[in-house]
Amino acid sequence: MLLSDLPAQLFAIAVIFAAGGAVFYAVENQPDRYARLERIAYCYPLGLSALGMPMFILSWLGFHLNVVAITSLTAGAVLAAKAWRRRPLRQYWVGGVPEPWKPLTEFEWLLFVIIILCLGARTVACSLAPLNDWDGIAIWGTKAKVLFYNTVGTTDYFHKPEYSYSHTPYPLLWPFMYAWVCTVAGKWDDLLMLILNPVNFITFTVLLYFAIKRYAVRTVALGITAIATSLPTVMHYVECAQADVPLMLIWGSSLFCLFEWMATRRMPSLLLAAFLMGGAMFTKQEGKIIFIASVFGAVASVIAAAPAGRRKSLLGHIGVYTFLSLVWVLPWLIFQNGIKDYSWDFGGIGLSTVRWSQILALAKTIVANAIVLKNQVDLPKWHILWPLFVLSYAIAPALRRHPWGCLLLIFVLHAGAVGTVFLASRWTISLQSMEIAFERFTIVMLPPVWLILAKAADDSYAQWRTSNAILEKPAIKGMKNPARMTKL
Amino acid sequence: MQRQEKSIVIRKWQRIAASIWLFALLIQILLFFVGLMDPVRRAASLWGKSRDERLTVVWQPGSVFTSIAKQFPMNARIFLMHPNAMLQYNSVYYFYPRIVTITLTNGLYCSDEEFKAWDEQPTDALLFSNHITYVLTLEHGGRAWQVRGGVQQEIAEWESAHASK
Repeated sequence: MLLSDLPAQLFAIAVIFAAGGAVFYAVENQPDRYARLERIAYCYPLGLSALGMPMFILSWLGFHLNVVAITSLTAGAVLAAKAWRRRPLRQYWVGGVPEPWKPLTEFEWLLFVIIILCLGARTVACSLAPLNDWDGIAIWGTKAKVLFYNTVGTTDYFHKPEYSYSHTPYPLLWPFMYAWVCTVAGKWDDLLMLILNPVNFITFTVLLYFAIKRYAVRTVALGITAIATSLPTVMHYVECAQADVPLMLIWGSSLFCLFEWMATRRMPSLLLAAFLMGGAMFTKQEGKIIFIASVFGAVASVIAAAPAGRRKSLLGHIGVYTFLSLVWVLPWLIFQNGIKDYSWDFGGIGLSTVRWSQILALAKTIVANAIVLKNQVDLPKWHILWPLFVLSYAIAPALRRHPWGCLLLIFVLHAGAVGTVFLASRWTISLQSMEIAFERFTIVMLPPVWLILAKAADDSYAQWRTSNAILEKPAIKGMKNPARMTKL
Repeated sequence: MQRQEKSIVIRKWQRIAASIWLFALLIQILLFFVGLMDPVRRAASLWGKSRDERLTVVWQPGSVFTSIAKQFPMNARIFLMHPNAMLQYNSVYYFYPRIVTITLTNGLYCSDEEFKAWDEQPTDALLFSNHITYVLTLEHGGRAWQVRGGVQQEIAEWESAHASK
C-alpha cells in the first residue's frame, strides 16, 4: 500500500462515516445514551447501509460511481439531517456527561492489550496482503471490478450464464464499497480497497464492547470483546474480501439496536435497527434469513414481556421496522428478481429440493464444525467457544428469560434456516465439503452469541465475586452512567 | 427449614458451576495468541516485499494472471480455450475490464462435469459475430492469436514472452 493513496482511502472512509452520521443524527434524539466513541462507531455501519442503495440505484440508471456525486449526496444528507434535528453538531457528538472513570485493573489492562494487539496486527496484515481469497476473487472482487469499470444498467454480467460461478444474484453493497474506495483513488487497486476490512473489524469491536457494557461490568465487556477479536476464524476472515464480516458488522449493529428496543421500547433504537437491517439484506443473501429471524425475535419479545395494553402499539413498532427494512432494500429485490440463478450449488433450489433425510448428517456436521479445533486447512477455529455457549444456559438462568430468550430464538432461527438452505442445495452434507462455507456462515451468527455469553459471564462473575468476598463496593453497576445503562 | 437447606445446596452447586465456567472462559481468553498468530505470521511473511512479491506469496495464480493480462489491450475481448473452473474464474477477474469468455454459444459451464464436457472450438464466424479480438490458451506454456476480420493470427511475441513464466 502506498502512503500517497492514504488520503484517498481516508476520504472514502470519511464519506461513509459522514453518511452514517447523517442517519444517526436524524434518527437518534438522545445521543447521551451512547458513549462518544460508540456514536462515532455507529456511523460506519449506518454509512454502509446509507450509501449502498443510492450507489446501486445510480448504477442501475447507468451512472458510473462518481466521487463528486456521492460526496454531494452525503453532504446533502448531512445538511438535511441538521435542518431536521436543529441541534448543534458539536454538542450532539461530543456532548453528554462522560462516565466516571475508574482506573483499569491489571486484568483489565491485559484484556485491553489483547484487543489492541489483535486489532493492530490484523490491520497491519490487511495493509500488506493483496486480494487473495478464492471467494473474494471469484465473487466479491469480480463484482466490485464490474461495478468500478461498468454500471449495473449497462453490463451484461448479471445475465450471462457463464458468470454464474460468481453467484450473479448475490447482493452488491460490499462490492460497491470496494468500488467506491477505488473510485476515490481514481484507479482499480485490489490492495488499496481492502482498507475497509480492518475498519469493519475495529468498528464491530467498539460496538460490541459498548453493547455489552450496557448491562455488564467493564471486566466482562473487555473479556468478551477480547474473545471476539482474537477468535481465529473471525481473525482469518477479516482479511478475506468476502461479505461475511461486513454482514456480521451491519447485522450485529442492527441486533444491538433491536436488543436495546427489546429492553427499552425506544423507537429511535428500532429505527436504527431497521435501517441497518435493510443494509444487511443488501450485503448477503443471508440477510433475508436474518431479517425474518429478527422479526420473529421482536414479536416474541412483545408477546413475552409487554403488558397486554401495549402489545398493539409495540406490534405497530415492529410493523414500522419491517416496512423500513424492506423499503430500503426494495430496489435491489426488484432487480435481483430478474436475475436467473444458474449456479450449480444454490441455483433452482426450493422447499421441494430439501433433503429431509439428511438432517442427521447435517446435525453431525454442525456439531463437528463447532467442536473441531482445526479446520481442513489446519487453521484453528473456535477453541471452546461453542461448549461454553451451550453450558452458559446451565449456569445463568436469566438467559431463559426476556429479552435473552429472544436472542436465542433469533440465533436458532438463523442457524436453522441456514441449515435448511444447505439441505435444499446440491452440496454434499459433510464437514469435508461444507466446512469452509459453514465457518463463514457461523461467523455471521456470532453477534447474539456474544451478548448471551456476556450475560452469563456477568452473572457468574458477580456470583464468583460475592462468594469470594472480594467485592470492594456493593454496587459495581453504580459506576455506570445511568443514562447509558439498560435495565434488564 | 428443609427447603432453605436445599436452596443453599443448589446455590453452592451453582457457584461451583459458575466458577468452572468462568475458568473455561478465562482459558478461551488466554488462547488469544492462537488467533493473533494468523495476522502476525501473515505480516511477517509479507513485510519488506514489493507489491508483486506479496501477491506471489499470498496468491501465486494472481501474480501469473496479472502479468498475462497486462499483455492485452484494455478493450480486448478474449476467447479462452481449454478452460477449467480455476482458469476461468481467475481470468475473468484478473483480465477485467478485458472481457474473457469460454463460450460463444452462451453455454453453461458450472460443475466439474460440465467443464469436462466442454468442447467449444472457435469458428471464424462465431469469433466475428461475438467481436472476439483474441484467442488464448494457457495449455502447454500458452499461445495467443489475434483475430482480425474473423481470421486468427498467432502472436509469436506473446508466446515467447509468456513461455518464460
